[in-house]
Amino acid sequence: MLSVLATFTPFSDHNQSPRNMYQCQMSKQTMGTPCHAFDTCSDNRIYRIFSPQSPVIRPSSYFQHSMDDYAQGLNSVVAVISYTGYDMEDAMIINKCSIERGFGHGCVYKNYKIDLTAAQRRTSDRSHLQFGTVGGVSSEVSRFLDPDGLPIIGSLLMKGMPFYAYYDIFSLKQVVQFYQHEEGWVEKVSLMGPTKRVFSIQAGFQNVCIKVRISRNVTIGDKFANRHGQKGICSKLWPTENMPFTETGITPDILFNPHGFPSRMTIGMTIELLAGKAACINGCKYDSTAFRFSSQTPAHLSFSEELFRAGYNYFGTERMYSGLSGYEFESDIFLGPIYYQRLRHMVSDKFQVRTTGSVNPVTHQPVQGRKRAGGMRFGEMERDCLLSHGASFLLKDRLLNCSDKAYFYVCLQCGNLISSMYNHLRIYFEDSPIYTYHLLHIDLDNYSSNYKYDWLCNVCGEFGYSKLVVLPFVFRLLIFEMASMRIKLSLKVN
Amino acid sequence: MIRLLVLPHIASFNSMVDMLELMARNLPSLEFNGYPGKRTLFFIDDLRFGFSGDKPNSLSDSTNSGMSPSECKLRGQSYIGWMKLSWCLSEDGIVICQSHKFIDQIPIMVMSKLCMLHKLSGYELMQHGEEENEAGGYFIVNGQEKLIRLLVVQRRNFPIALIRDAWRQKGDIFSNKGISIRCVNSDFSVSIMIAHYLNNGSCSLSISRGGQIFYFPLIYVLKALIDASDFEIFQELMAFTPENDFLEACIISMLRTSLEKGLSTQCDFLNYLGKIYRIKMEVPEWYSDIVVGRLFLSECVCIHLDDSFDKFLLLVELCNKLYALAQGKISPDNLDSPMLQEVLLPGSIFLSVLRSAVINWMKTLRSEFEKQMIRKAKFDREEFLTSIVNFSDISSNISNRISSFIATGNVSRDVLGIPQFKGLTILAERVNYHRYLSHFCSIHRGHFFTEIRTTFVRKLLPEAFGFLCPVNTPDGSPCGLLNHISKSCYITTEFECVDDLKGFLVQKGMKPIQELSRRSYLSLNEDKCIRIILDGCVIGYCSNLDTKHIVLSLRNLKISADSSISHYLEISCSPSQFGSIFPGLYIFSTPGRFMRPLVNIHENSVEFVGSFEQVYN
Repeated sequence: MLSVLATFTPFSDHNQSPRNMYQCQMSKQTMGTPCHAFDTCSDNRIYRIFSPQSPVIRPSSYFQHSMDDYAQGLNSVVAVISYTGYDMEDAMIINKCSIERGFGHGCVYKNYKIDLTAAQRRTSDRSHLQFGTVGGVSSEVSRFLDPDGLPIIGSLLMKGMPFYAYYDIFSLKQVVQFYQHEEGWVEKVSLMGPTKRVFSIQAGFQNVCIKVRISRNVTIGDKFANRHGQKGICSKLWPTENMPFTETGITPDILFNPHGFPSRMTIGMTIELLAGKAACINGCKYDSTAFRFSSQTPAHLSFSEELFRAGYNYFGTERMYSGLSGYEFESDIFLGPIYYQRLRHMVSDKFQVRTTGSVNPVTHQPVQGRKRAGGMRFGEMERDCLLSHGASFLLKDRLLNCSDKAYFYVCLQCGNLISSMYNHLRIYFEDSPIYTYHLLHIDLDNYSSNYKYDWLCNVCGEFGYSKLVVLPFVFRLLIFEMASMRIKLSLKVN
Repeated sequence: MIRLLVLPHIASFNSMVDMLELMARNLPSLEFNGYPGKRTLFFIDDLRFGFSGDKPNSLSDSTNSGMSPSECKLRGQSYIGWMKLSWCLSEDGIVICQSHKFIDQIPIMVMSKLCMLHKLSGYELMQHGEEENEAGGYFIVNGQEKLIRLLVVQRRNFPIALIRDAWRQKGDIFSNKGISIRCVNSDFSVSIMIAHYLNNGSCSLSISRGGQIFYFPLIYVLKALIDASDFEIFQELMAFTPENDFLEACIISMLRTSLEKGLSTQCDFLNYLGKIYRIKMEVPEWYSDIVVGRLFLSECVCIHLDDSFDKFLLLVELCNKLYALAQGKISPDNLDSPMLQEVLLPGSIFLSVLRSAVINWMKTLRSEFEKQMIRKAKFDREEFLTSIVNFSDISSNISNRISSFIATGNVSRDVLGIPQFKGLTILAERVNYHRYLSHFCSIHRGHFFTEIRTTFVRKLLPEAFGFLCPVNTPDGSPCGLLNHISKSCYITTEFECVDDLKGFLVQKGMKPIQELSRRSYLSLNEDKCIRIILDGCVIGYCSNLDTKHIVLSLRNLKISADSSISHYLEISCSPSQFGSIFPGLYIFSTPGRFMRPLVNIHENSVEFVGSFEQVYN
């Protein structure tokens, strides 16, 4: 009845149905084991998790599909407790010590395929590009690249470091490309021979694929989920000495906020916890295929009894002590192992920060996009929000100061923003009204010191009315565009 | 186990490879007025795929042939095989030239039987840089792993009663009732016929062909199909529903109006059809109207049947179902229910794209040649032959079309016979194993439905139980349209063998269809009879009382281990019941059906049931 993916959800018949759907979606986003042939795998981007575990609670289809070959998660000890306030709104606290011991550690392999024939096509006819360095490369480059012009395997690549070098065998012109991507290690360099027979030259390699391994340790903001559609963000790596601990000295890996239960009704998760605990105590793995239990033989019953027999609390709870104060908690804490998956949405792929940077040449506003270190759009609804708060200074900061603030001269007389010109001469006569002349037409020597440059309104033809104002740059663009349609926009300046 | 999930992809591709020869034979031929007074016929007589391993010498200089899939991925190249296209040129029926052409660069499916990795052990696969349990099922085009999406389409060769308000707009007297049938040939060419109920009580048949829709009175087609008297046709139409005054009146009036144009014999009607449709058919001008009429019937009307009497009987069934719907005796069918759906398999999509590419190539060849004829004012055989060779050299046209189809997922209109031209292929991302797996069992309802407002198509229906997963569907816009097939669901990929079936059924009490003239209608009228229809071909009928017995014995035969008929036969009997669906015993053996295993407790063995079979048994 269920598809392959849906059968992998343990005790899915105990969950609310949308949660099972979410799990199906999320298991497709998990960092796991996509393949075994990592060495030959040449997809653009491969996620891999190190030290994945086989779940202690698994449905029978796990065997049928030999999913242990492609494990994608970790059995982690979860305490259902609200602790420190860092676990609000689906956030979860992870034990710093667990992370340091490799909990959820993974990496991303990226393959950069570099084909020089494309670059060659752009150059003149008589050229043949190939990887390598010719004499005269600075030591700054040769320190990082092998003589074949390719990065050293196992070396660390950081932003701005030489990535690869090639040259033209006729003109010996050297080109060095620098690494512009996320910091990583060179895993593998594959050289590919020519696909077409190249004319008479003894051709070097023109086509390479460089595989870079980017290490992805767990950091705050990374996403985790268990197999019941309960996802959360790691909000804090909590030092292990400050974590709550049980009487036997266990500190949990993950603190899960109990508020996650009432509205989601993922009973399957609580059963997985009970069963997982029993499995760990008994040293075996339990089956969690859906529809194996009924209301006559409830699922929790057998697992609870296993726990009880082993001397644990029947309900899977334990006495715990606060790691901060050392006091015993008043209530018993529900604690046990749950299989957690690390999702591929990671902060290092998503964070976006900008103070200053590139701007759009037309509007002078910041560009968009994470890749170009652009800004986040502060749109109309955000504007309305600030307006309603009366936070007008913040609004000015966002929309003007941090965006396209510019200074313009506006003519007070005609209100024109685009008519003021600087390269005009204002000449003072001792006793007469002011005359204006164009710079080119007069001989400056005649006027000794009685002149200086000043702003002139081209429309009014008069000096002295131009005033400096602060406006968004796009506003002038608007005025220009209106002017091109013969519409004049005048400003009234007080 | 991943091999099982990928099975519909690989098996359908493999069976497609076997079907190429059949497809080649069904391709239309080019006819010219060649040498003075001689008719020249150009046709393709064989089409064959091969992998680069056994590559002919003429292709040796091509670049990436013989490359392993993992190397293709690394280099950003395509994983390819070749195709051998053999053609014939004949004059007045005498073959004067036979030659062939190798076409390179045809993308082939990894792990299909054309693939170099086919039948390799896990260890050998690893030596080729693949996974130990690589299952394939995808193509590699420009270094990307692409797979052809499974698509849900209307069940083939089964008349479906529909009520659609949009049909009223087709004309003043068109009603919203109609019977739609999607006829699929054994080489997967498709034509859709709809029998419309008209408000004046008559019936109009619409046939779409090559993006155009033709309408004509049903009775014209019936009369063109067989040489029978009006009374015989009347009797045949009334046979299964005696004492239906409304139907009787309608048929009589239809028969009467058919005489108004002064047409009476079969030849008259063929002549009439041929005269009207010869312009659209693109036939040589020396074909007589009757020949064109026959061609029209064979190419457009019930294309899954060869015999015109079979076509006639199916149209009679269509007509009966239509009038039952018009009278409110049966309820309309629900096209959104998996009961009336099947899967458009990757192999058949590939074949359709290939066919249209070859037809297109031939059309360009023809127009090129006609230009040459006008210039030279005479036919030069040698020049024609060289131009074919040159032309096919220049046009890597065929392989380009297939590559671009797999790379982009776009096809030109009227290739597949469904209203979807884009998004037919998806990228098999290897984010993790789960995602990779689920690409192969995902099944889409069709791009068309993502745009319509109503959410009815997205509903999970009880008929889907065991075939489509109720859980694994994404949130948001594709919710309910992009489904995944269940773990136990099996999609048939072969034509099952049904040779012995007819004999068995007769043995169990089926009355076979006889020639019209020898038919005794009295026996039919005594007790209510239902038709027995095998893949859209009426093979017989039986009385309502015998039905149960026939179905049971057929089912037992299907389950039995040493059975001569396939386990994947779908036997569905809709009972004759007022307000239910149209009665009939339908047997399906075609590929693309949903089947799932069940335990038959009477026989204590595993039985595969289809999605239609599940509802009524």
